[in-house]
Amino acid sequence: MVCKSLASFLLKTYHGGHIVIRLAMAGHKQPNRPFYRIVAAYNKRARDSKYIEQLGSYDPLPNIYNEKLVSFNSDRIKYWMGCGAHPTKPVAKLLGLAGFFPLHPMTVTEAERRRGLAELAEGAAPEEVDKQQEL
Amino acid sequence: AHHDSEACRAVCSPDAHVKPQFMDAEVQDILTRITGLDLEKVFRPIKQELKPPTYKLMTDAQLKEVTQSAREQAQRLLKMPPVLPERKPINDVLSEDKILEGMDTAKYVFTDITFNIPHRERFIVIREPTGTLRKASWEERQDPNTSGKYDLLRSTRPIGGLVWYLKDLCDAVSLVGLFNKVHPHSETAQEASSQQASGLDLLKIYAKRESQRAGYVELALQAYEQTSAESSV
Repeated sequence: MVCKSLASFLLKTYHGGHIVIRLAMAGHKQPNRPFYRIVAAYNKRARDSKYIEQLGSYDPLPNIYNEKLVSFNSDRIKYWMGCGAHPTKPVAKLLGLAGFFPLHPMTVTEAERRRGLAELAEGAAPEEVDKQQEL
Repeated sequence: AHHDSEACRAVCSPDAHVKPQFMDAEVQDILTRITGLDLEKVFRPIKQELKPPTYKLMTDAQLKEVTQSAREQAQRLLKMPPVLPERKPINDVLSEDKILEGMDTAKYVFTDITFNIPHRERFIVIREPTGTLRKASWEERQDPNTSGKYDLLRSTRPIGGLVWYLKDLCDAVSLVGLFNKVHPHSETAQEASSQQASGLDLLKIYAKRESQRAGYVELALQAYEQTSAESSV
């Protein structure tokens, strides 16, 4: 399967760098309300500027059903991966959670760290309750 | 008519094994009787291309023929859409990753937006905070905005609503008969068969047992009894 033509090869030498699959902010210009698009773009371009193709979206804030909605076009992601695109770390984590990629090791590490923090917090909270009761 | 057939679809989709099928002659009979044949409604004015009206001169016999063919046309239009077998609930768990427990407080819903897949066949996958990866159930697949209307429909239990809205009580009797056939295990049917009830008694039993609008149904029954008593006197 020939992914790239002469035109895209010339474009590549013009842009320099490779193609990446990454998250780009969707530019709704509302403070404290991020929304990301999963996008195939040239590496050297600015994060939010012109991309080659949009492959999906990711809403980091949970909705009323406590769900974080992620969409991705598996067909096109497979195509761009076949053309040699590199996914970035957050995209790799998301797709690992989805089951499309193997699970990213950092996801596991983060989960362990969170659990550790939660246990520490639990350990601290009963102590505070005891102190208050003494007082 | 469309509303009726939709509600009947909700009623008539049991497991395909022992219970009466949608395609049974008896069931179809009752359903067509309930649906009725209101020519005015079937051929009500719809948006069409503008064209000047045509006038035809006919004898009485020709007029009869034309009305007959119009009735047949109406019956064909009212043909009920086939009932699909009940969809099985989706409970597939793709993987359980206990190491991921507590990675996040919210669930992740992943939808595959590939272009040419029909909505029912998409991969919609949910990753829970406990780390299990499972396929989305039918309720989750729906657009969340439509779920409110769906619940409304459910809570009124379309049968009860139909019984209320059907002014002609003969229809109601046949509907309850259908209901009994389809849900032979329900209490209504059991009591009806034990008492060999028919007609108004059937409706009374249904109103007592199953209907969520028992008050309305009973009032309607009383009114009907009164009017029938007055008319017979």
